[in-house]
Amino acid sequence: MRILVDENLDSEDLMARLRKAGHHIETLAKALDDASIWQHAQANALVVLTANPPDFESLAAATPAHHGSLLIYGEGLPRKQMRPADIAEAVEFVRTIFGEHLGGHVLDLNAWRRPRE
Amino acid sequence: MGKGTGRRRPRLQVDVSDAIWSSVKQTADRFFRGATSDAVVAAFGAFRWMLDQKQQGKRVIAVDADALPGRYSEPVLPGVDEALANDRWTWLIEQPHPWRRQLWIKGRRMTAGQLVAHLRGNDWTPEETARQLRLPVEAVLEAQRYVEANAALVEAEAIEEERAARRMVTTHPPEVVGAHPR
Repeated sequence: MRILVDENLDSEDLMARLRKAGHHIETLAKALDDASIWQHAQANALVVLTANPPDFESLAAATPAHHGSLLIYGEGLPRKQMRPADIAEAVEFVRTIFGEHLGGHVLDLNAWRRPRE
Repeated sequence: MGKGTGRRRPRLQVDVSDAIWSSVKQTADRFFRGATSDAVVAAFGAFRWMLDQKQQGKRVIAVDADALPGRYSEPVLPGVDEALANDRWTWLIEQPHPWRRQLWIKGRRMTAGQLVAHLRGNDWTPEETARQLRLPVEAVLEAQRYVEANAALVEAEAIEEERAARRMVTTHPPEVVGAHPR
C-alpha cells in the first residue's frame, strides 16, 4: 500500500516494519498542518495513517473520493496500546481484504489488530 | 524555644466572600502547599511592597522580560518564583486547537500524551523512546512529568480521539478468526 505516516506515529520501529512488508511509506516535514498533510495524501494517492483522527474528520467528510484513512487511538491501559507490531499486522490484515487501494474507506485500526498472545 | 517562653502570635480572622476564599485556597494549594496563612502573608507582603513603591512616587507596572528598563525594582516572592519557573516547559508548547488543551511536543505533530503512550505501550525506556522518535531524552522526560501532572486531561482527550475515530469509520473488519473481538 502507499501510506503517508502522520508524524505522531513516525517511530523507527513502525517505519521499518512497514517498509519490510513492502509498503511505500512517506512522512512529511515536521509540524505540517492537517490540511497540507491531507492535500499531499490526496495528490499522491496515499492512505493517511494517523493517531490524530479528529484532525482529519472534517477533511475526510469533505473529500468522499479520498484515498483512504487508517485511524489509531490511544487506549486506557498501556498493554492495550497499539504497538508498531500491532499496527503493522493490522495494516497487513487490511491489505488482505482491500488489496493495495483503500479508496474512500476509513478504518479504525484498533479494531483490525490481532489479539496478543 | 523553652516551655512557656514563646509569645503568642496575634491571630487575624476576617470574613470573606466565597470567591475570595476560593482564590486564597487555590493560591495556597498551588504555591504554598495548602497553607492559607502563608498565602495571605505573601499576598500582603507583595501589596505592601507595591504601596511602598507608590509612596516613593514610583510606578508599579508589568513589562515583558525583553523590555525591562535599565533600572528597576522587583519584588521577590519566595515559593512563587520557583513554582512559576517549573511551569516553563522547555520541550512542550501550547498549540491552538479547537478542543485539545494538553501541550504538544515542540516542533512536532505529537501531543505529550501520544509521546508517553508510545513509551508505555511499548515498554520503552525514555532513552529508547527518544531514539525511536528522534527526540532528545529531555523531551521525553519532560512529557512524562507533564502527563503525570495532567493525567485527567490527557485521558479525557484520548477518549475524544477514540470517539472521533468511531464516528469516522466507514468499514468494519470482517468477523474472522484472529480478528480483534468487537
